[in-house]
Amino acid sequence: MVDPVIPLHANLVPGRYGADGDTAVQIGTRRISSLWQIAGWSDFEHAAQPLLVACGLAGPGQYDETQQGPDVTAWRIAPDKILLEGPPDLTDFASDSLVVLDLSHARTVITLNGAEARTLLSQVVSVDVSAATLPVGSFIQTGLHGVGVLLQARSQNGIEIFVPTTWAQTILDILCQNAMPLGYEIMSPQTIHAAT
Amino acid sequence: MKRLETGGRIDREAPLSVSFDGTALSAFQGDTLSAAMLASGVTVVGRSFKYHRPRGVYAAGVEEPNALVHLRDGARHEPNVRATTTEVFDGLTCTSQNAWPNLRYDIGAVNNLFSRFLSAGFYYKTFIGPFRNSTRFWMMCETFIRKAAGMGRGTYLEDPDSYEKRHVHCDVLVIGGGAAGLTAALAAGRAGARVILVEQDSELGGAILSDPVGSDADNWRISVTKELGGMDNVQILTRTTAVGAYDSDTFVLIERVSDHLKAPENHQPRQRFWQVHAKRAVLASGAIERPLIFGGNDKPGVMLAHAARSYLNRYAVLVGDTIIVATNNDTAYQAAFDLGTAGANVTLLDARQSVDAALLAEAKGAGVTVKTGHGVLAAHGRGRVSAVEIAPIDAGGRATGPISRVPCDTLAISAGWTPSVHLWTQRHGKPGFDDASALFLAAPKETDALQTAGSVNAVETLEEVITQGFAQGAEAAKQAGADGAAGICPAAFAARDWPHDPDVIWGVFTRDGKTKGKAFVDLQHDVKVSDIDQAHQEGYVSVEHLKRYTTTGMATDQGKLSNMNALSRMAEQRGLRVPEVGTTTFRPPFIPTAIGALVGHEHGQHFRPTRLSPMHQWHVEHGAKLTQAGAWMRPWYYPQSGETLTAAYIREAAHAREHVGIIDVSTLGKIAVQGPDAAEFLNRIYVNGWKTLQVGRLRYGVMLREDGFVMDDGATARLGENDYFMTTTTANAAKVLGFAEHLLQTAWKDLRVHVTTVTDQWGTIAVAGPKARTLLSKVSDADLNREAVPNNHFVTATIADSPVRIHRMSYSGELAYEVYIPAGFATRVWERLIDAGTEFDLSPYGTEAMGALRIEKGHVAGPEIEGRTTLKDLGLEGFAASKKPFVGSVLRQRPVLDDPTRPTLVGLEIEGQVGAKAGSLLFPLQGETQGHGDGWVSSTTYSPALGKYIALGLLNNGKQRLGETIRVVNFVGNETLQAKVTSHHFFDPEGERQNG
Repeated sequence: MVDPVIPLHANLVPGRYGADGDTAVQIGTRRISSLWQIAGWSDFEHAAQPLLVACGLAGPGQYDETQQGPDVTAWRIAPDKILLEGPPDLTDFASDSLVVLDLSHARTVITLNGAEARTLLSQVVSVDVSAATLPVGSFIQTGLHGVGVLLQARSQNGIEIFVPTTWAQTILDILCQNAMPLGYEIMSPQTIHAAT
Repeated sequence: MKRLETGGRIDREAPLSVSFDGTALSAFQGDTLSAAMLASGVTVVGRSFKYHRPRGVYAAGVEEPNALVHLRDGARHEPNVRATTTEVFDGLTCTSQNAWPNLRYDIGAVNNLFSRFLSAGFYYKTFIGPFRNSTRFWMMCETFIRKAAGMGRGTYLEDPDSYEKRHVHCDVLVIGGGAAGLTAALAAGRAGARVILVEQDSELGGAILSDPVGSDADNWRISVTKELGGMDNVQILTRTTAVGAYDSDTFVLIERVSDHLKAPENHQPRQRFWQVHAKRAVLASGAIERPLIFGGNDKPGVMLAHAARSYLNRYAVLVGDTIIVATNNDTAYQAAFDLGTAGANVTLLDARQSVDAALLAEAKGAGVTVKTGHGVLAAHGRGRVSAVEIAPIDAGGRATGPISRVPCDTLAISAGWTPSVHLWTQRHGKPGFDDASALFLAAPKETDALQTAGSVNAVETLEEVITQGFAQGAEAAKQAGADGAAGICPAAFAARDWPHDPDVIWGVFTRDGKTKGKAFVDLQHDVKVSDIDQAHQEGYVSVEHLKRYTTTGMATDQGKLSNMNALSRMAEQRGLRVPEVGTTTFRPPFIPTAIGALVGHEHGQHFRPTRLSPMHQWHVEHGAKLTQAGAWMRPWYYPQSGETLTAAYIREAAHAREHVGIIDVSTLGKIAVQGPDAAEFLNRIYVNGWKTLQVGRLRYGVMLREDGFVMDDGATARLGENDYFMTTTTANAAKVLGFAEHLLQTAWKDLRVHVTTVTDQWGTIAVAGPKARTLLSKVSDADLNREAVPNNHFVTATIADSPVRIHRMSYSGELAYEVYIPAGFATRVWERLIDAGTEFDLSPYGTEAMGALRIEKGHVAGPEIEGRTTLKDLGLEGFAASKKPFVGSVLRQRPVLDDPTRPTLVGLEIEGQVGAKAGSLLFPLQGETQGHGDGWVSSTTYSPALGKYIALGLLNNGKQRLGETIRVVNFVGNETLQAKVTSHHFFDPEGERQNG
């Protein structure tokens, strides 16, 4: 099978934009290898356990903490829903107690890196994205420019934004507009690939 | 008025080019515009709102009522800017406003001659009667009145600047950078709290900035500011005003990032809107000096005493040579002393009968003559005050002795101070009244997250200001969870106290209690004492009604200067105490705020988010004209060599019928319905049955609202035992998903079903036309022959190495398929179809042609499913199952919805060569065309298949009127057409083409 097109590639023109001075933020994207949602009902945790074990995860996890397995990253996005990045096809785990859904193409990741990454984020989301509230390894679901997104702190100065694919361009645009006073760089596709 | 050689906080090494009405001003870095005006001898800076009276600089801060100017030119032009808070910059140009032809000779000043006819509420009384048809006359007058109303003039040019929003969360927000705010921030910062300190001035210090440079006060300010500046956990925002306090301890700040510059530099925004969520907040907003009321109290040269001191000590501007200071309290003495020391001849009139001996001795030492028990009855002068009438007065402010005329060029006044409780009242409601100080004060409960400190609490000594600020800061930090030590409070410096006297006068009157000449309680709105009296005489007792009738304290003043004096007058008139009269409500914003700051980046292209198909880039690169469809941008049509919309869509639609066409329908709502009870869920939400649908098949469904009206329609495929793939209309995707979630989480908690949007997961291409099967067979590995994939079946396949699912269904009436592709592969598949389609004469088509095709076929869409139509209205009643309940199944049976005369869906063949306009009303061929008619046109197009204009419409008793000729009336376009009523299935009613 061919590689899917990263939705923002056409409009991510590498270069330095906005205010002069140190580059405060680097904006880019990265490829999602696979993204699955698993969901269940009152017996969800029990039903999900075999799948989670197969993915190398200890359990369903917390609602604000990213779980990291050997090849799989997981976010518990609701009491009865977990989003998993990186697993193989999960169809075989589906049962009357657990449903699985391939969302690999439904999200686009926008990456923010740099000293002012959290400042930029604070301009577009109303939740607290300071390192104290969104520490490394945590995540939060919120609205950004009216679009539901998932934010995860990959590092002190590195944030990933999971955006529904069809909204990705508008989110990128609003981020770039907000980043003008900070000074930002669009990472080249080579850099993006190297990072993935 | 003159600029002093020494002193002040200005940089004499940095002169700036500044002009007012074309005249150059003496200005230095560090000046405000008003300081530069005063330093340059500008006495008249504007004309008043109603009477166009000449006005001069009155204050030195946000409370300024007079010095409002037009600032900057061109697209950055801004009206009603306060000169007192405008920092000068090189190249600043400003002009006067509300004056024509110029400030000196203003024709509008004629209003002053007719002032007795322009008193409070004159417009309520004037613009009625007395003649027949008077309304028309007054409506004509309105044109001129509107032109005369208001102050400055805005610009219609697009704002070239950007505005930014920022959301921050902190432990402690300190509002106000004066002594109390500084110590509050210091204590909270030392305790380890995340602190934001907000100060609207360009520097921290508050009132201390009006003390001489190098004074003990100034040294104290520098010391505390330095310590704060070294704290990483304290964020200091200067040039930032807290304009609003809201529920959930949310505050709005406006930071003037670039207003002190000629234009924003280095991509910076002009202003920044901060939304602050604070665990705790300390309001240290200080107090505003209150005017004293007397005749002619608006003359240029009359100003607040503390303002005169600010101009002297901060900007090195001595506002006059011969100065009368009129007061009723101790605080104005310091202004008198400083002005006297600077070289002015100062006489102080104290309304009080007796004054502390030590204060009098100090005055004598400063060369200030003090007359106790005296007040200013009236100010005189043309263009600037030149003399005042003074008289001995009693404890009520009435003259008791001979009136004498005293020459002067400046009158500095102080009737005490009004605490700035605005933000507290925005958050918590009306303030309480403190009898000891006779002031309205905030009344926070101990548990409130917003506490107050310093002069806003009307504390009497500086030591109290400082210790209270420090204590509130420490407590706020503790309550917010910071457990560090606040340390020792900085010692206070020497400053003049503010001893309270609840019996001070607010105005000076003649023996019979009247003012001598016009005496204004609200300078910004030209509201006189006599207006308050008139309102009382006319029966106004509510202070809120008084405010609206007279306009006192309205708009940007929000009671800063006018409130207490107006309330005092009303209380006197009613024979009540001030607290019994009450106070008005202060509303946000605290200062005038640019709309741009409220909007931020969310305008123009970003007014709302935009949604793009995964194939969007291809459409753009291939010249598609785009149209908005909700949040989506969709290909409208693909013009060839300058084609118009009409020519293009007719060509595209005809081409699809004749050959094959493809259209991007990724915008369709797509919802994964999963779980063991998915079929039951579909059975309940759709009107038709789902339990028999087999894997590999799909079915058209219609859903109703609970009130029985049609909500949406679409096809749902069964992908697996527990997996269904629902599609909705583009417009209703979010509504249907929300409705389904709502039902599953409330009424249908018994169902083990999850619904998830997968609109973003799948790109979708509709392939329609006689050659659709041939084309898809060529590019895919699927067997698509009629027997293998009949209508309403789907298969999985591969196109261009991409996995796809091909649904056999038709929206156009042609042999058609919908190809569902994982979004990342969608463009690849689209391009493969385009390439392979060359031999089949493939052409892409846009939404306009899609509309034409579906109207020809008689399919309903958004214009028909618009919330007022039933299954029966749309001819869909046959889909409704009779043996199962579903959403809307009960209420759809209401007699009113079963009325056979209701408008029902019909086709309309338009006579002539002009199409009908959607929304046109339908009338019988004969009779009057009045009222709502017999129905309306919902969708309209030119039909290339039929070679005529056609339309869909809802017509009363429509099914019984087939063959009738009716009129189609477009009242907006003043156009009447005739149309023949037909079946809405214009094209291939038997479905031979789509089933082929």
